[in-house]
This record gives sequence, structure tokens and C-alpha cells, in this order.
Amino acid sequence: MQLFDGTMTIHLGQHKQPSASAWRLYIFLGEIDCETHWWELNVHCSNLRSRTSMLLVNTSENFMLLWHGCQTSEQQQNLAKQSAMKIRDKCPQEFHFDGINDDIEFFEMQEGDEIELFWDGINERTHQRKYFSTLAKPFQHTLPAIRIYHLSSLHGPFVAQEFVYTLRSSDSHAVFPFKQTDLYEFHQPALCLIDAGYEIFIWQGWNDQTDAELKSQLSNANLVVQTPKDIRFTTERRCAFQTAIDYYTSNEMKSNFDLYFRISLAKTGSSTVDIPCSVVYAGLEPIDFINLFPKWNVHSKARQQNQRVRQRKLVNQENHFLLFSFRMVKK
Amino acid sequence: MNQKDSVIDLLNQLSRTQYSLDELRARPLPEG
Repeated sequence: MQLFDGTMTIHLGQHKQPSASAWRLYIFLGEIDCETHWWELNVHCSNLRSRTSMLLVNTSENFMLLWHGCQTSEQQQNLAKQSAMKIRDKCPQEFHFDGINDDIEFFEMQEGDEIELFWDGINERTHQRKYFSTLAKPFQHTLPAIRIYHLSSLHGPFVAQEFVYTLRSSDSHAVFPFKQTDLYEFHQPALCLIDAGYEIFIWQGWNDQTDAELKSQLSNANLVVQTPKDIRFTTERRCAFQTAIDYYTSNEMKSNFDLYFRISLAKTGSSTVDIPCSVVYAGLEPIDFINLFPKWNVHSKARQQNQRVRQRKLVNQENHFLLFSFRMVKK
Repeated sequence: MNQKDSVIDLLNQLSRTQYSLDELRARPLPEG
């Protein structure tokens, strides 16, 4: 990565076939000047992230728009600008700019203070923020880096193993240390504890079955008892939920969590929020969870499986309720 | 989409130690 002098860019599609649209969107990653890099994303408002900077490029009219999310530090913004300027000077052919570096017009802007050209570029003329924007949220300027622990009892005891970021460095703050694939590559159904600094998530994977297995299971869903695999997974989930609560109560960052939640409680006036621990399901993740990762594609198989599990649960609950009320009436 | 459950609620559901007879007769059995 250091060979590219902080301008490594991963483009979408193929080198010789530039995409039909002139607008391209890149997300800024990395914390040290020689390791900064860009990832191309589809041009869509939901792909913006308040935690980092984005580069919106128009290759036919030669525009470069550098956008800084409201949670980026000054240091990060400088790094992003430095890298974007290098790209402008080099004008790599992979960007397919229609001209030389002097032709490229450069704009810089902050989240919340965008120019109209930016909204035109991402095709969001109503200026709606379809990502988890922290502009109006009571977050501190920079949140601590997220941490992921893989929870499993595959080898007997239930163990939490922290996942490490390969580009970590002691004196910089990692903005997006993990990718979506880090979660989806575990043996499924996996359980992970994600400490986002202001909330703890338990991410629950999906049951990776073949269609035939699924069909047979569905056809006699009401007859079969739980398999040992199901029972073990239920036990693992119980342990994971307990771990999340213990993690929260023993965490040094408790004051951080409390601060955020007290403010948001005061704002919403709700009294039901207890502690900031929630469970999210593979394929059905909420937007605030998705935005902890730089790039996100919904995993359709996981979504299908988890949706089916939830529907079945709801039907069962209804059946229990009906049965119960029927007996009450009989009595 | 946008599914988020409270850890505490789920933990309480999974750590019950007492079930009524009706619940135990029903199939599939409750989780936990």
C-alpha cells in the first residue's frame, strides 16, 4: 500500500470499460499519510459517512469535490486533502479524466454546508441525507474506534476474541477499522460483539443452510424438536447477551455511553431506553450499524433466512396467544 | 429491515426458569 504514496484507489468495474455515468464517488480510508487510500462506491446518498471524507468526481467536466463529514478531525481533513491533491496532480488514467491536471477544478466543503453541484452529483436534489448523519446528534467530535469481538464456544468454553485492525498504529485514530466481510466471513451463524463507543451491538449471523435442508425443516417445523445445534446456538446467544451487559457495566467508557444517552433521553423524553445494548441481525441491520462500516451490501441470503426466522417466531407467538385465549374461554 | 432488539429483553426471554404447562405442550418448544 505504501508504494502508492497515499493515493491507492480501488475502482469499481473494469479498467478499460469506464462506467456510463461521469460522476464517481470515493471514500477516504487510512490514518497515516503514506497509507491513505480510496475506495470507489456507487454514487448514492446512502453511501456517505459522517466519520470520514468523500471524493466526488466528475470525469467529463473535470470536477473534484472533497466533502468532509462532520465527525472528521482537522488532521484527517488535511490528510484527505493532501491525498486528493496528489491524485489531481498525477491525474491517473484509471480515473478517466477528460483532460490534464490543470483542467480539474477542485472544491472543498463540510457536511451541512454543501454546494448545489454536490447534491446534483449524488443525484439528491431534495438534499435528503439518506445515511446516518451525525450532524444533529449529540456526539463528541471524534468517537473512539470501534472494536469487534467474535464470540464462540466452538472449542468448548465460550470465548470472546478481539478482531484486530491490520493498519493499526498507536498514535492515530482508526475511523473504519473493519469491513462488512469481516463479519460475514466467520463460520455462520456467528455472534459478534461490536463496541461502537456510544452503543454496544450484538450482531447475530444467519443459519447457512442449503435450500433442501431449509425446505425439509420448514415442512415439519411444528413437529421436530430443536436439534443439538439449535440448542447450542441458543446457549451461545444467552452467553453473548450476558457478555454484552457485563461489558457495558464494567467498561471504562461507561461515562461516554451515559453522556450520550442522557442527552438523547433528554431530547426524546422517552423513559424506555435502559442500557445501550442492542441485537442486530445479519441482512436486517439498521442504518446506524451499517454506517460503522465504509461499504455495505445487503447479503440477500442472510436477509431471507433471518426474515423467515422472525416471521416463524411471530406466527408461533400468535398461535400461543390464540391457544391460550381459547382455553380461557372454554374455562 | 432496521431490526433492532433490546439485549435485556432477549436475555430475560432466554433465561426463564419457569414455564406454564401450556407453553411446554406447544410445539415448537420455547427457546431457552
